[in-house]
Amino acid sequence: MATREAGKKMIMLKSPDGMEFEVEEAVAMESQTIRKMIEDDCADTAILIPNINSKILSRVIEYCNKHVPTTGATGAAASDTVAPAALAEDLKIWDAEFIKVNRATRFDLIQAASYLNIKGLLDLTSQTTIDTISDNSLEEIRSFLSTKNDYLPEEEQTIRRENQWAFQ
Amino acid sequence: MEDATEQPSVSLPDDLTEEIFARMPAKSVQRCRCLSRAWAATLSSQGFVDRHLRLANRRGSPRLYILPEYGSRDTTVHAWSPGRPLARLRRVVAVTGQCRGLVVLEADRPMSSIDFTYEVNNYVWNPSTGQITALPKGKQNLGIGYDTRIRKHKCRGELPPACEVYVLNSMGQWRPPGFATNFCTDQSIFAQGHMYWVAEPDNKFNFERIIMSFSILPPPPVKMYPCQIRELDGRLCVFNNTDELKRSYDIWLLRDHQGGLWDLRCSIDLDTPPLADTQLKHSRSVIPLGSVDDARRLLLRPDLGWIKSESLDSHQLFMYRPATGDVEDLLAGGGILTHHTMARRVMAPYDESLESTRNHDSKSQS
Repeated sequence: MATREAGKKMIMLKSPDGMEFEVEEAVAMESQTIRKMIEDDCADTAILIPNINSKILSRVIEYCNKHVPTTGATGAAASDTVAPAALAEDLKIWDAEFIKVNRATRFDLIQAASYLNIKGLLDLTSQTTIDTISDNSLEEIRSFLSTKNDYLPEEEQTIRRENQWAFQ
Repeated sequence: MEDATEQPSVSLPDDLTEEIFARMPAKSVQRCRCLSRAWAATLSSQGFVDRHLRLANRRGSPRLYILPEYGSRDTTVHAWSPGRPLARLRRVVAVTGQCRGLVVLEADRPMSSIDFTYEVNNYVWNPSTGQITALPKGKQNLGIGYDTRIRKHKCRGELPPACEVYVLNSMGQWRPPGFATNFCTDQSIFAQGHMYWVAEPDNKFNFERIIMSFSILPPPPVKMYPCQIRELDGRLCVFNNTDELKRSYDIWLLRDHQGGLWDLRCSIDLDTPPLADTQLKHSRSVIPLGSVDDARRLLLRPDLGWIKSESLDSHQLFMYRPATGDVEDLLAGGGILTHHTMARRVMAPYDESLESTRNHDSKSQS
């Protein structure tokens, strides 16, 4: 395995379009999927990340780089004593900038976050989508999700009545 | 910002769309049940309801509901969260800890305007959707729990000398569970799969396993009674803040039900920094309302029982992180919650939940 600095293990990630990204192991392990591969010793040379193109993968790595615990320690102990309010606020602002992307890119990021199992990124991308659609009408949400309304008009009346609480 | 450049063909696979729906507020999910037949089925399944309960409540700030002041003519319940505006919920008045997003309320309904007689009604209420259903009459000191075997909520109610049980969404009646009990002195709490309440007069904790066995729990290794119970970090929490001479007390959490062992969660000390440095210096006592931020921070509010009439102390709500001593005043920015009509109202946390309060078999009634 490549080693850039003492004590910092590096991991090679490959996208299907042939790009290679060298990242610190701790950064790559923000992904639970990659963490599992590393822990199971399946990550000797390079890890091929299927279905995620280099453009999206580079953004995912950018996210993980920012969110990896800075102390070098991992887990709850670190974030319990460090991560003061200012740092959390800083991350929030960074996240808000990071997620200013078009819908296609955001959907790609959601798929990547889901496949790589990166909880924070999945929460961030999901929440942004929720914020986008939560005030929309049903018709707008249908078009946003490319869902077809297969209810007959009277059926839609009935189901709306059953869920009337949600429309008040 | 983004939608000008959309290609209409872009869409997400259904499983990821479901992933997003599972993080939405309950009310929005209910609306989305009207999208299509397939979504109605998916979003109504018990599996999705469970998943939503887990994911929609993981993020960020606490959600609180605020009840009208006891005896007030105003019956508006409000929902509040830092950074979100106050929302009006449906009318009704006071009581239990929440269980998977449902609480039991008790309301006095005037029977007659001539002699001012009242009838007590009990309701099951979901604060996140606003749905509310009346329970069969005639019980007091109600509790609510969840039976994982039949995947239904159960309510416990007292009508001395008996204690009876009602299964939600069953079209049933109150039924005797087959045991006698000491009666509840305060609200009952659902945590760790059991319903708990503090019982008199033997100063021990009675609990009722939701499948209706019955036993007594040993108290924490200090003198506790009279104490209060809450749910904290998903566990049963007990504390005693009634000592008039001391402004400090310990918060204990039940480790596991079978062992009956207790863990000291933290100590609340209003005479020592950092809590003494806050405006809490005038408060007699505070109550932990709940924990947020992966249980790292506690939500503290002055115990209204100790506050004399109208005072500034009742306008307070703090986020306290015992590990670092950080204290943040959530109401520092002012807003409607600091208005005197809001100050003395009971606040309690709730979860976003799709659990229905209604009898599934009686949908046509509405």
